Amino acid sequence: MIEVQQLTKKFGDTLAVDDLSFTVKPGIVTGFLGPNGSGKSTTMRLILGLNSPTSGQALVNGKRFAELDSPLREVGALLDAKALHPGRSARNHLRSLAISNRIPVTRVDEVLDIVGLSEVANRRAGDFSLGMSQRLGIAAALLGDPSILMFDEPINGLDPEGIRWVRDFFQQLADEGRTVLVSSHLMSEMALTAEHFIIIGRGKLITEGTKEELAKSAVGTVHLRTPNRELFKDLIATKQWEAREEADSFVLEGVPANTIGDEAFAAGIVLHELSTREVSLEDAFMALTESSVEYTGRRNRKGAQK
Amino acid sequence: MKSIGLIPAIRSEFLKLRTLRSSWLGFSITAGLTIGFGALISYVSKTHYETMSFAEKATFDPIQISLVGTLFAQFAVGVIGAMLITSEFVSGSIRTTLAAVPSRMTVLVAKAAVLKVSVLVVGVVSCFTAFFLGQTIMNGVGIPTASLSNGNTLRAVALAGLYLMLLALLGFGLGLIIRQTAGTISAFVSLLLVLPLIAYLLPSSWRNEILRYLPSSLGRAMMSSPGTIYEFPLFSPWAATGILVGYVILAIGIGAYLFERRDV
Repeated sequence: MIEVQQLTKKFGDTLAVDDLSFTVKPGIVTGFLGPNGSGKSTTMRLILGLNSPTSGQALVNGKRFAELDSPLREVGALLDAKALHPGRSARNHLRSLAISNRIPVTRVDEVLDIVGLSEVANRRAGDFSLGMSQRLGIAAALLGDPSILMFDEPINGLDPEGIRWVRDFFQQLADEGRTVLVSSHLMSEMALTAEHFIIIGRGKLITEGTKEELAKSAVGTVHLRTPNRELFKDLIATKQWEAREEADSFVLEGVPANTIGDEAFAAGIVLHELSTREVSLEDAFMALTESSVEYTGRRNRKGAQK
Repeated sequence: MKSIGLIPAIRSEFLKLRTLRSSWLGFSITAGLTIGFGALISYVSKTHYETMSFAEKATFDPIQISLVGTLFAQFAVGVIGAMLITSEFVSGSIRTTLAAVPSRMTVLVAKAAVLKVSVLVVGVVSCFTAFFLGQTIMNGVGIPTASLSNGNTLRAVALAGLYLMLLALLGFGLGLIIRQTAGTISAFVSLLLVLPLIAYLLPSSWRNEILRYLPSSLGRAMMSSPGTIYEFPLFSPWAATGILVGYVILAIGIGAYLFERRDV
């Protein structure tokens, strides 16, 4: 269990994490989502005591990280796959970590085997590809067989086979009753990996919930065609629906299709098409974080004309 | 401050040190410079002793000649000490280290302990080897040589090894403060080479007072022989050792204060 309580972190005048509170529960994979620069990594560093909070606190298994007796046995973390000395072999990197927490060094070969790096264990870690480094970082997180696991963007650099492996593996870890927090800036990636989602933007919690809850929170659109366009426009005006008119149809937001159908029938309007377009989880994520994206490229946004 | 204990942290840091090729390279360079330059200058002194002036012969110090390599090795150990910590900041591996051992003081003490012991062993062994090799080279042909049966000689050679250890720790302290390899090495080289140059530009009354406090002068004092005349008055060997220890404590103390408070 990870508990983040009113966590705030300022770097100079910049609020990196802003009064953030959430709980990560054991037994499921929790996706930690937000655009680049939204404070995901800072939050993880705060949880690990690497950065000190301006206010608030983060608890792991009910304690501050610094109070843990044997940290690697309670929390395994992969923050940055390249954060290791490039000159040391993968095996020696893991051995040094194991020794520091009195973990038997036989465990090193076990975790190397789990992540599939046994054959390259004696190679310099600096020569590893990003994907291999991610696997090594995951191996390091597993060393102490901890009940809490945190992975910061673990899927970056993995090949398709690696991505599938990581997904199944995270699920397996969660099924074993562990707390698994995985960050990403890509919803499409997380939709398949996580069950519960914590979405932040500009350091603030935007929303959290399951896949279904998130999809529900984002409004779908209803597309409608009618030969009685003028009558229907009057209806929109009366009901104050949010709608836009396109070449041969109307697009309505935030009104269920059956309500529209009923009202149209009551007003004697003939409908030729009435269909609901579901939003994808990714669209929902984009909509949720749109206002908090730190760096935006120029683009033609759909619906910008409305 | 609760932690998983210092002993595992020390064992971990020792493994980290010895599993890097750069450590072995650093220690080899330290030993090579100490012994190699000592032997070379001893040999040159031997072949040129006949032609030296009376004044040169009067101040001829066979101990200092054989230990001259420490002037070069001091930079090697400074780099070893600095890189022990800056490499962690530069690569970001300090986060991995602290995620395993959250107590920063434990990490700091473990690193310093490993550095201290390894540089002391390499330094003392190198200095004694350089001393014996130098005396053997200069032996005969009427050149004065030194013997360890003289307490002052033993002290000079042993303190030469200690000097290397203290400079490694000084580099470590600077590395903790500066957290960047190039910057730390520049600062270290400035302390040893640039400060004396600046001091020489000052009026002589100030110059002599300042010069003897500089790390390089303290090193010469630690390795000095009684009765040898220097261009400016040096501290006694033990006073010099005390002052250098003070510098090391100051540098590591400031570094520890910052390390404890800074985000990584």
